[in-house]
Amino acid sequence: MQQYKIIFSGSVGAGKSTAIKVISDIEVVATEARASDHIQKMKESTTVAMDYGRINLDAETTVHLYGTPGQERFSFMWEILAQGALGLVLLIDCSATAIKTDINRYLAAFKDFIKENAVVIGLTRSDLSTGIDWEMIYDTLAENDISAPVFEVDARNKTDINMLVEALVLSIDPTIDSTINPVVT
Amino acid sequence: MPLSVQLLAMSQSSQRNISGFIKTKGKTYFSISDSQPTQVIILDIDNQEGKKLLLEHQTKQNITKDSIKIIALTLSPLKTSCSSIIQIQKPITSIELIRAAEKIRLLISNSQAQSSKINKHIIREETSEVISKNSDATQSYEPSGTLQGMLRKAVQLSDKEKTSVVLHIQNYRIEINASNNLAYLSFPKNRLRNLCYYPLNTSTCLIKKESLKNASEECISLSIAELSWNTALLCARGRSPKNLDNESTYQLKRWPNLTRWLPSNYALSIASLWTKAPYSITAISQQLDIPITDVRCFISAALDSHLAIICKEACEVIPFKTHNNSSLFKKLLNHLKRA
Repeated sequence: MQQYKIIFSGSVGAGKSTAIKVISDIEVVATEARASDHIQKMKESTTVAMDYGRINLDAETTVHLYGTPGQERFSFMWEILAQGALGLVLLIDCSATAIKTDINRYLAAFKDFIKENAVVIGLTRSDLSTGIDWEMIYDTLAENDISAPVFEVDARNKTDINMLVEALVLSIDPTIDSTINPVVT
Repeated sequence: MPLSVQLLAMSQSSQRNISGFIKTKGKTYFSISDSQPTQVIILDIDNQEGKKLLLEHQTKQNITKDSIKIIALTLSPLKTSCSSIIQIQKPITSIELIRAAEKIRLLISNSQAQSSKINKHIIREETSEVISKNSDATQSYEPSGTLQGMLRKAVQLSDKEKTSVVLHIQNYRIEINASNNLAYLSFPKNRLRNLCYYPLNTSTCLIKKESLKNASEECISLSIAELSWNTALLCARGRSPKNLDNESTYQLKRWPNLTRWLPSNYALSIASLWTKAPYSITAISQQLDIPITDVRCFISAALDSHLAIICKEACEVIPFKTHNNSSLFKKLLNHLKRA
């Protein structure tokens, strides 16, 4: 049995749990608790330990999807969950006021992991923002010496999340895609 | 001229898929024919009937030097020295069928020109040359004679003059404001496709220093990068843009926002490889084993939207090594594409 792992992390309310839900082949296991601090203004409940979903590729191969809690006070979970993962899907809420700080925080927290593995960035809730400042985002990535794929995504949209995961896989090995696309028979 | 083809010894679903491909995307390469003999036979050799037909072909070939070419579909390719048999490993893709057609065309033209045996390795090299020559000669276009070229001029002018400029094409207007990196369309986004079909010049597309702010109609705003990317791909329509050096080295500085912008063929793979290190167009095409036209379309759009740069100094090109988990990645990509 081959088992692999992909991590979903990022800011509070960015849509990590939703993203896992839309691509998981099983009912997502969540550790939601009633929000008690400033998060309460954003949403009723929040992830406190992890979200867990799964993609079943065949009888022998499974990809586990883990979502980290967004709040920094649960950051001890981030490193635990990231151990042995193939890559990181980082979701950032574009409607937040401190996008740069958020990106920097997560890139710093996963610095060692990103050095060895792949990362993709999904910018969510862009419909609620006044527009994405791509210059600032790419400058922030350059400051962190990262040239990762960055896409505008809707966490509820399966196609968007699938493309993020595809980009993550192809960031690790770009030579794979051409052998299977487009399938005729 | 498309090659006349027969589909034999395959399941109904395979027959349906392949004939569907031949009738649509592959119609310039193949045409299904009921009358015998055809130039090509596509055969599934994983069943008894297919194996038998292949054997018959090989015997016939040895005796009569039959000119029929076979495209053999199989899960595990056989060792064969017969140059008239081209094997494609399952699951087959449309690009592999197109490549096989190119190979057969070359074989036919070569056998007409010379009777000497053709080394398989040389065929591959010559085929890629033919593909590249074809893309340059018959499947190419000049961006400056399309909206793509006009847009380039407008962006340069707006940037240089630090002012808004408007492109006027019939009743359509596009404002370019390089200072805030935004473009404004006086028409719905989906009409852009129509504009990209027409050849344009300075008399059919006027560029004026003005703004649409005072115009009565409501405008749609989008980033200049998105407009440039989409326009480049819509103008290309699978053709290869001229005036791009296949041997120059390019590097992608930023990824195109592919969840919202028009996707180009193999965009994720090309973007991924090109952000890792500088490569030439030829190197990307070879490394990913994809048509050079797709790479040229991608880099043309990326240069227009300022996502890529041309490396003026010689760069150290790092050969890419495939990953250990490639079988898992294939399965995962297949799963995501089918989802």
